Amino acid sequence: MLRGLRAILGWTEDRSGAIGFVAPILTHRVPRNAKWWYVFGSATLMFFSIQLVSGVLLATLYAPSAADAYQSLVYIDTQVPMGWMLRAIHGWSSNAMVIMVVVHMLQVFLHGAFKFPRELTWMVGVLLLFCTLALAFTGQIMRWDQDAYWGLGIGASIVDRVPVIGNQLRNIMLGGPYIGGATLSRFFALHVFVLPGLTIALVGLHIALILKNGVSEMPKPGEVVDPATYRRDYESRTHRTGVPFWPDAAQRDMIFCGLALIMVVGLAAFYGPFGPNGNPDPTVIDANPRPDSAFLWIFAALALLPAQVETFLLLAAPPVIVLGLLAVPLISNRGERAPTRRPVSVLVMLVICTALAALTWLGVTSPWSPVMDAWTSVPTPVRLVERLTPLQMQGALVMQNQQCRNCHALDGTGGQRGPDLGDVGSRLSWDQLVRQVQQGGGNMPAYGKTLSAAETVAVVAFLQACRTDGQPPSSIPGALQRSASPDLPPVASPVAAPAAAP
Amino acid sequence: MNEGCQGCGCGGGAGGGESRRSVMFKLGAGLMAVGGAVASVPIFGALVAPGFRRYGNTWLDIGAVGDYPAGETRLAKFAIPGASPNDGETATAAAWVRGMEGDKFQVFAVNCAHLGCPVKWFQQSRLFMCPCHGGVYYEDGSRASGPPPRGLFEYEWKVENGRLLIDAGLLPGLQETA
Amino acid sequence: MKRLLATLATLFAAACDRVPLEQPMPSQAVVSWDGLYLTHCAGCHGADGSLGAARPMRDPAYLATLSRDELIRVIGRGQGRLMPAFDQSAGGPLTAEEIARLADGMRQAWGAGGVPVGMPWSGSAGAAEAGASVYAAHCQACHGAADGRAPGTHGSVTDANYLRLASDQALRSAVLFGRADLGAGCDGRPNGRRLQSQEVADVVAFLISRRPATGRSDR
Repeated sequence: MLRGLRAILGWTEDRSGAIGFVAPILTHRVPRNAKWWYVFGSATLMFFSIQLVSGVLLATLYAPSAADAYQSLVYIDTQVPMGWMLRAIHGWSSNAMVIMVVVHMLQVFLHGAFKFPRELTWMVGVLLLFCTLALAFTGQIMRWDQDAYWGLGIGASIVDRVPVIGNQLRNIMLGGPYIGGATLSRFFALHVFVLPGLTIALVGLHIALILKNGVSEMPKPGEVVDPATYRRDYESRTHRTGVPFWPDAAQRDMIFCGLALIMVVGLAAFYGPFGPNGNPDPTVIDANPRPDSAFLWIFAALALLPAQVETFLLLAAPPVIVLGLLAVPLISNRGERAPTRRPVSVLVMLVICTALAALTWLGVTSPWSPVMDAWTSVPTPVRLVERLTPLQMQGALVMQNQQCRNCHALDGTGGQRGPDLGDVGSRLSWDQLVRQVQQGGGNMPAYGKTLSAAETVAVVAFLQACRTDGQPPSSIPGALQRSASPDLPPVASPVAAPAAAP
Repeated sequence: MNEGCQGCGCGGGAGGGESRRSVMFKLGAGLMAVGGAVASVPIFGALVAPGFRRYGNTWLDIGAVGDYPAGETRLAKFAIPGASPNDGETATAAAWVRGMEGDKFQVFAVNCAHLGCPVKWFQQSRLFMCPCHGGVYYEDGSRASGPPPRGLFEYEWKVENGRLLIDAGLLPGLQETA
Repeated sequence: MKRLLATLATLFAAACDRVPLEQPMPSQAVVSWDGLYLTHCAGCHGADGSLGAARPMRDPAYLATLSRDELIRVIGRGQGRLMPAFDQSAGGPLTAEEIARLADGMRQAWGAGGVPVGMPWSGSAGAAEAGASVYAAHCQACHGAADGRAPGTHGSVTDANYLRLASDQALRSAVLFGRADLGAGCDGRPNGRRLQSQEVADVVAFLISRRPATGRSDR
């Protein structure tokens, strides 16, 4: 039996040379100190494999037609045995892949592993990063829900801003002059054929380059990269002290990948799949579109960019980012690798990471978005209601009725776009409140044309009552005081301060 | 095709082995180039065709004039003309119709002028608000606050036989003012 | 090891059992009346039906006096300028069926045991002059003298801007039912008793007579 097996193996090896091809790859020598820092690339590859397998399975169940896609997802979630789990794994593993590819990249950057002779490996890695992000973005579109529809709308609006040919580019992207079946088909082809094929090819190239140039050693301060001597030194060092990749280094990869996989499957089982969130019906205008987590920072940046430079940055930033990342090893491919000796690089990296994290957090909370139903769902704080006069109570109603709460919080509840007005009465005087309500400004619409004089008086009277307990209303010492008084337009001649009253 | 062949010089006489190989190589490369060019017309043509076609709006009936009373702004839903059968729900679109005195109207695209998210009308404050990045517009469509670079996109409208028609169908964008 | 495997198997089985999307999709989901209330009403009428800026709905007498049809009409068509119309045919967000569910839910949960105030709803015309003396007797202590000379403890209701904003119906409801949620003495029983039908009509007429003719914003 064993002999038979061995004979078959021997025959296969003789005709194919497979083992002779793979064995040196598996046992290539890697530096002894290549330890836990080096597991992230393998983890990325593992999650990509998960994506391939689960993606193929999903493709057997998914209907890539705009008319049926949403219902087919509902069907997968509710009717197909374990279908929801399949979608959940595909979704969570996609997030994990994005995280791993970023962590892997940070590690390579931090350790200067992109320097000679591994420049090309870095560049292919950058392309793989963008393939991963493109897969994530097109994957969100496969969900074909409101987020997908309006996410495409945002993408189309950005492309439309390209000078001269923007409109043509947009129509090419959408497959027509509107978002529809042709759009989904295009993105389906990208997500299922073009991008995975490209990624597989680039992964192959990435690994071939790693094998050609060897895995980098842990950086040591003072051990500089000199292209004239690096290859010879590296080879002699790994020959002397290196260990075979299989099994010495691979065991760490396997432990980490196994743990990461269990975690992702656990998250998928516990939290279930992402979406689909609402039919992709363009006439349902109650949508509240949000991008997937990998793109929240872009979503935030789009809300915060100043209008004057927005179009320029929208169009200039992507090529600058791509070219900048590609150019990293060209800027510096020699010298120190240790992070302690590269303070500028490390600082730049930290700044970028902090910015991305902050933008992502802002994207999660999106304080700039009006809370569309706050005016009917977020009550006026009871603390305030209990102390209001009838006129102020009407003002509180005007405040709700005019959708002020969609952007303004009172005591922390409500929209976050404008300032919290829970204590505005001690910050702004009567006149300032009237001016702000009527003329708007500072990113607030003017209500002068919408509110009647009585409504303005009432809402300002209410706002003046919005104070923390014990605080007096805001006023200018010694100046004449205005306040709500019978039958006066909001900015009538001032009422004398109580002390001066007859 | 014949012209392509002549251009390659395939009609030239035979020379030595070296030059024959060179001619053969040139012939092969030329044929491949011509064949590739011919094949790529349909292949890439289908891909980029939407960028070269002229799309136009068409006059669409969005209901009786009486459906849009003066002083109110209401959502009109309509089917996109010439939609393909597998568009499903996405073959529909919507517009905000502001009725004014004397059968005058303003018809706005629901897409925010910033990045195309659907704006929502609030009758009480007479404002349109966008859920994505917080763009706000007044009832006449002009920008009130937030990131939009301009007011809402407007559709042309006309009244025929008591029906309100709008000139629509394309996804509005900054370069294509509805 | 065996126990670990068993645990894992149990977890796996539990995960398989769980179908997170067993409930219908959101677009088809039926929202209960209190869900509708929290989304569409709580902003003004208070989180639990009281202590909001607008009239409390958790008021048995009010819900008992108001007929179901009238309640549905007010929700659907709105009232005055500050109560919006919620029916879809009037540009609101709710279907007729949802409005009925909301009205029934409120009447059931908050209207139990309510005694109708027993006065004709669309009240008879009152006399403003008689209303002035009713006001002086029953309202002045809290809301101040109508001429503005003696300020009340709870703010003026004869303020011109207040009267411009409060609809006739709102004034009448305020006189009839008060705001019991705001504390004792605000329950529509000045001096310990409900006003007579004629007294209510008179005092409302008095308040309306104080409303300036111009600049009414109840448009």
